Amino acid sequence: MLLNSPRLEYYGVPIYMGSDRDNSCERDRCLDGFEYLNIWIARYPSMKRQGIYIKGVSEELYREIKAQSAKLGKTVSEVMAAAMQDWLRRKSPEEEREFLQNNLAYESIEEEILTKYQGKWIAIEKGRVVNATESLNQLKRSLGDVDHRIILKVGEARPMKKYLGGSSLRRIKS
Amino acid sequence: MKISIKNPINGATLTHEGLLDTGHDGLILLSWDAYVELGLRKCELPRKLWSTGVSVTGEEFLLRAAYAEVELGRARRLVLVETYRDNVRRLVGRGFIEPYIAILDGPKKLLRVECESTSSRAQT
Repeated sequence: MLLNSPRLEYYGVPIYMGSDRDNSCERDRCLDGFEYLNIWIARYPSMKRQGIYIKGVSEELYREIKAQSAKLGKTVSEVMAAAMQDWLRRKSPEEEREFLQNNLAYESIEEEILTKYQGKWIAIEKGRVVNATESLNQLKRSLGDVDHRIILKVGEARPMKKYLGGSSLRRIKS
Repeated sequence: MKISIKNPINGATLTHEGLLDTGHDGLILLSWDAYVELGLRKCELPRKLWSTGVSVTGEEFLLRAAYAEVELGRARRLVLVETYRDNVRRLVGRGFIEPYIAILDGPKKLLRVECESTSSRAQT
């Protein structure tokens, strides 16, 4: 049985690798967890420590991660935890949802904003203009707890083409 | 001299060595990680107003932009800082030094930036 004989082990922690080619019926029956974006987190009651099963990861990829982790003096679990945290940080679903909500709201009432609030600071949260003030400091007082917000001094910013690159100068002395 | 970048809403601050890129005609280009770390997605411009960045190889990509307080020496300015997803470069563009006097000392490979209260030097 797979749970008693993990194919890979790292510092005593069993790591179960899987691919679509694996015969995983027996293993799947043993999993007591949930799937979240192709990641299975399983609990093993017979063991004191929790094991993590990541579906669909090839052994070649795992070996490469293990080799690169060793070069950096890190454990695979440290690298995986950092990668997962990074992914979560980058792809916060709520932030993405509010980003779209705010931008669609701005685009639908842009004309009104340009005429009504010209020269003022405005904030858009959860798809609506929350305030329009003369300064950014005044605007701060009316802001809520959100994952994404548009802040704009109306009429000031405009899209341009900007060239990146060229020679870089490193500041060396104060 | 260091450059401090502060989120004007939540006060989160990040300090780094200024890297002046005279080939970048924008103001400040932050790394994606720094942009996220400072929480600048919570004071961002609408995407319709984002500029387009053009790389040396001609590729074009949208530059997310947000307001931030940038401190250079004792001078503090509220400017638009930009980034694009997964960018790792942090640049101070030519646009940022426009209000200052910048003297390029070719033989010494130094750039002197002078503002009202302070000055700093940069080397190629």
